[in-house]
Amino acid sequence: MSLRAMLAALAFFAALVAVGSPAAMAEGGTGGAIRLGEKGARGSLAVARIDALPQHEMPSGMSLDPAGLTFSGALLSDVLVLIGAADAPSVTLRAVDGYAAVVPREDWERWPLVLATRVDGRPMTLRDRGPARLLYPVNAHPELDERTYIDRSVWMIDEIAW
Amino acid sequence: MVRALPLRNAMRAVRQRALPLAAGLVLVAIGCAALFALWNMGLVRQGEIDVGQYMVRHLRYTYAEVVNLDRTLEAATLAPTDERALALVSKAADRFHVRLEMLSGLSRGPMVEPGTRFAPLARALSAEVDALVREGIPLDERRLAALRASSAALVRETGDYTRGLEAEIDAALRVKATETSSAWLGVLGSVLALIVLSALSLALVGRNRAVLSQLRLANGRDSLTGCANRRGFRDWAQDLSQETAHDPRQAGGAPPHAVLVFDLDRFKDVNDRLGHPAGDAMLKRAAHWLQDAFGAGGIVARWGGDEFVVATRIGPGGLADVLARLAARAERPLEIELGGETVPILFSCGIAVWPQDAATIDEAITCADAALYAVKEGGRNGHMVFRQGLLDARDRVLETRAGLARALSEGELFLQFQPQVDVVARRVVAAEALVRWRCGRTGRVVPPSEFIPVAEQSGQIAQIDGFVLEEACRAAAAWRRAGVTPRVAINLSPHSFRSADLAERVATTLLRHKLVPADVEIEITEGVLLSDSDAVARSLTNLGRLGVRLALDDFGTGYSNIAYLARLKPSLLKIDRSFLAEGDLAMRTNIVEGVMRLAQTIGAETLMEGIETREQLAFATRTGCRLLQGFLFARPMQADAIPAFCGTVAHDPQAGTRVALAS
Repeated sequence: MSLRAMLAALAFFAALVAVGSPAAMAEGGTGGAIRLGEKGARGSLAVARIDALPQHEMPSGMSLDPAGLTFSGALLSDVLVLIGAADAPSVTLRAVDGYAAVVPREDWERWPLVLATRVDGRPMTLRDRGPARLLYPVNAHPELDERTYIDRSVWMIDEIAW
Repeated sequence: MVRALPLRNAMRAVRQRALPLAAGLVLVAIGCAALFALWNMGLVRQGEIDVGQYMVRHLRYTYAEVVNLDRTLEAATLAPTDERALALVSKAADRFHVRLEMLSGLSRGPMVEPGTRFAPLARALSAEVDALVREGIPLDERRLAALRASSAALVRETGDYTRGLEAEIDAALRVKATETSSAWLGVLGSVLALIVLSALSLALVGRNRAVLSQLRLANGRDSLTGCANRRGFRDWAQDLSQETAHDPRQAGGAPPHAVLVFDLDRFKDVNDRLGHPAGDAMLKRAAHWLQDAFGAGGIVARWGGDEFVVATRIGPGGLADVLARLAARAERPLEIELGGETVPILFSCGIAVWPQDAATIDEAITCADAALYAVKEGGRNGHMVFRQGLLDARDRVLETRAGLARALSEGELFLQFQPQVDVVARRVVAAEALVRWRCGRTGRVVPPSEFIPVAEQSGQIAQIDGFVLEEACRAAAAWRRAGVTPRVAINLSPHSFRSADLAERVATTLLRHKLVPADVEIEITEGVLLSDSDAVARSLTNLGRLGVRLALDDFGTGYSNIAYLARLKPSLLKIDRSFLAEGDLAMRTNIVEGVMRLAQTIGAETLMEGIETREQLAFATRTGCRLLQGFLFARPMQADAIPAFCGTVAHDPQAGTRVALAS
């Protein structure tokens, strides 16, 4: 067994401990991935646990959303602390339909990014582009109305990897 | 100046305008080339542009959703009653819905572009699947089959749309690639154009410099020394005369100026020996000193070559002031280090005063020039103030020089011969050839004393000597054909004695006229001996070896080196006529007898020239000198008169004196 393999195994277990629940896979020393699910199955994060975090509201602002909706959910930074990815330089958000985007650390440090799980108080369905969406505060920060951030505003999120 | 020189100023202005115009044109051209280059660079470095890749990305997800829906519907046909099949269809319908929503929100794409088959098909499919889900289980198999057909058609439609898009992208990329390569050509062209234009600007700068230096010249500056040139001097003179003409304070005329013409002594020598840079350095140094000494209150101009003209206002100290400055310099001459040796810079200078000596500055320069000429005549490194008469003397010399050139080319020179008589043997022993010049223009016979010095200065003497040698020999040959055999005595200039081939020339001339060396006597002045150069010594030795008789002319007037005289062994000493003028008879007798004894000692004959009276003849006879020459016997005569004269002397012992007295 090579040293590299031993290190990889060590990192794997460290990740398991950090997340507090079994991680689906380990990518390098600090990386990991977690799936969002309805029940807290192995390697997944129940949406309810996100709902249990301090909630933030955000009016609809991005394109496609009809005006007047109110989204709510936890701050992405809080979720990352929850899943043990607080120190990750960036996270990759993957959607149900295969879409994915990389969100760098500076984004969530600079703006209050919301990982929304509810719309107008009810849980987001798939047709609402749930179960979770990353929302940039585009109403408060008009400079975010730009392709870069629109592309990072992933919806139908079902996995967070880092 | 502006009033005086409108044309020149206009030309200057044109040049000054033309240059900025050309420079401006070049600048504009450079600007255009730079803009062209930038434009092409823009083509090459275009920012990201959407040639369709974003739409392809959308279509990737769309294709996945359409296929997902299609497969799910197919799977559902296997278990139309199963709740889980319904859930799967519902989920696929949701995702399809979201995807269509997404596509509909775009500004382009299959959902918004008019005339695509995708949009109606997709909308219908989405609505029907939603309706099917709402109806719940069991799923209607006939409707499922119809939906399957729709979804399969939509898969094909999505694929076709994507392929069309990809073809468009390829075409767009091809266009871009073509544009880019042509842009590179453009950039290359622009860079080349810039290089050419830069070279052009450099050339323009060079041209500008040349024009500037021309302007400087036109401005009246000498490029080497920075002094004025002739033009500058003329401008200065013109300004001066205008100022004085318009200035009421100077109603009495222009203030007097000393006009000095300087010539650098030995300049040519320095130039030849140490090279032109040394000569230039010498000129610069000299110019610098002249500027220092006379620049204030006047003008220093380089007149060309090594000649400078200075005009300086005569102050209260008068001309003496100017002369004092010259004298001070003469005491401590300028020196310059050239090629490791110290070369003194010596001037010859002629001075005239304007308007005292001449009405115009130009005439004053002519006067100063005449004074300079006189300085050079009398050696160098001195100065002379112009006085009336100098101009005449110089003019005469120049006239003589020009006349001599004509005389030589048109044969105005001729020889006369004065017999030398042996009064004891009663025969003509020789005839001295004397050169004469009858001026073709005036008819005047110019005495040798007038034109020989001029010819010696100008170098024309060589030609004259050649003429004399040739004609004298021709005459001697003619006499021999006529049956008489006097020698011919020939006077040659020191110049000829210094030339290496004199003896050779004499020999060939003798040969040509079928004479023997003893037929000819070459007369040398003591001056020639005094010059004491190796070349002269060699010539004399060679002549002696040839067998030609040598006669020492004007003996007793120089300072003959007796030892040298003994070695030279002349055949004849010609006692100078000045001894005949000696008043004290006893002293005269002693001198002549002394000379004759000396002649005897070195084995030479003696001849007394200038015998004009019977008293002189008697004196000569008493001293025992038997060879005599003078008007008493014969004046110089034409060559063809010699044979007859010889005959007369031979047949009548008294003929010589009679002839002499009769003529």
